[in-house]
Amino acid sequence: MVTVKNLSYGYRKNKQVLHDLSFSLRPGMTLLVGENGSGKSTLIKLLVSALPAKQDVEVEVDGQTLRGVALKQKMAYLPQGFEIYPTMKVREILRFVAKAKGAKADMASDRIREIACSVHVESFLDQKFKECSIGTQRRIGIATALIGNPEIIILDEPTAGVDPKERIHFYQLVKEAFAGKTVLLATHILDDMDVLADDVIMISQGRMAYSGAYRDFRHSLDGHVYEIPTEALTQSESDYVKRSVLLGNYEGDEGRLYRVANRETSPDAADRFTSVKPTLEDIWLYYQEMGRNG
Amino acid sequence: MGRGKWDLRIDVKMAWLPFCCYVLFLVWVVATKKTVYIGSLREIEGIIFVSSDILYYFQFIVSFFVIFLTTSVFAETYRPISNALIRTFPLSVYQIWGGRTLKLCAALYAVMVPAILIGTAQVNDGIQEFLQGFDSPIDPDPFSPYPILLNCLGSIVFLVFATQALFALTRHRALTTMLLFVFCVLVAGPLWKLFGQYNPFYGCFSPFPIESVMLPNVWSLLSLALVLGAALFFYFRSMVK
Repeated sequence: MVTVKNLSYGYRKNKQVLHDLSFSLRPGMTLLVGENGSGKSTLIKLLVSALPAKQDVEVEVDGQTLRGVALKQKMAYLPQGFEIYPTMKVREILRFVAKAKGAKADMASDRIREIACSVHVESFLDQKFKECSIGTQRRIGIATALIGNPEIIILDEPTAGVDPKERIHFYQLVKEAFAGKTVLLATHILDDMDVLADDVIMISQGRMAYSGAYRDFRHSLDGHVYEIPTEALTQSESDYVKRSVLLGNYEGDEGRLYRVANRETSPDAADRFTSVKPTLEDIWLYYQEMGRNG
Repeated sequence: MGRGKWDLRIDVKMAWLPFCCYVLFLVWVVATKKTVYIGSLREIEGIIFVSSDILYYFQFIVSFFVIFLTTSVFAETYRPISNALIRTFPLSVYQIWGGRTLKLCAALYAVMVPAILIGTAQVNDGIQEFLQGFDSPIDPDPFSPYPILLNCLGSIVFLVFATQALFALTRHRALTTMLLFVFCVLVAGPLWKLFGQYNPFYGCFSPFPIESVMLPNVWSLLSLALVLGAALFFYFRSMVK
């Protein structure tokens, strides 16, 4: 179990980006989600020490508090748009990363080949990184994350810029390659959640909006999402819409409709609300709004 | 997994071609005796004045090689995407920066020292040859290599640190290289008089007091290098925390 407590960060004195975040990661895939500018990348970079911080970030790993070099030795990081020494051959890059991580065993040729095979890039070992496709480059990135057999893997939007077909292959690879490890994957692509997530952490404007099992997250609005025509609202209906989270309004078959979510109360039986099945977008919008409102 | 180490093979791979060009340049200068330019040899009140291009070739022209080699070696260290990844490796400040900088300076200087020694010997031979044409015997003290050695050392160290400091600010290799090239040309040209005897290229384009082992500009070069080095040390220290 990996535990982070009371994490705050600001780039400048008056620009606080993360506010007192606390969460736990268990073995498996935890997806870190949030809208653009919510603080996902900042949180990721802070955890992997890619940002200058006034003091070391402390992370509890299986009851042991780690910071600095000790924490780096347990972690692997795959940044968004992974690229390092693009003019070097893939084999040379993997060897460089193995040496930089202090993973002596992984520097050997047969071990490099083994790691490359696990992510299906063995045929690219003698090719320059920049000559590989984006999908292949991301898989090489996964290979570098596997070096040293770290316990915690942190990936920052690894499927950004990858075409849908390659993304499906990528999901498969990530599941296989990181089986049994504690993985935190930052993404704003909702489809990634359905395919990959065991747990979800959602942040909104640097604050925790949701933290828990994905199964619970996915069904958290079951029976709490409604639609109602926007015209001729009664006072009761209007009050309910105002008390709820507005998920959107759109053109339905019989006119314009409001789509709202409310976990606290149900609409009056006399009202014209229709219960609908919540989509992932509904759940996303709901928790983003709740996070904004504190 | 223990502490990481920087694979120097990758630095060699990044810089071997420009380094070979640098070595070839020094060999060319020495082989063609380019330093032996006796522009004027006059005796005024018992003092001999001699011109030589030794600093022009070994300091000014070499500056461009030093800048290019530094950006070649450290390109990935300062580039934002790779910098973000490098920060996460369990490497020390010495591994990421200090050791590599020392080795780069040492490699640049080690190749230069024999070239300077041969160059000054060539200058002295040239002076002796020139003096044979005079009626009255003149026997000047030999031209010493020490001011040249110190000048070039100061220049190499300053430029390696200055290049990295600018690189840390711009995060852009081409921009860093071009800005420093322009700086060298401006300092050697229109801004020459601005710095006086503290000009980094003092002696490259004008006579200098060869009896001084430590020229004034060497003090300024080394002092600036110290300041830039300290700034870079704190930059990398914040990076590896």
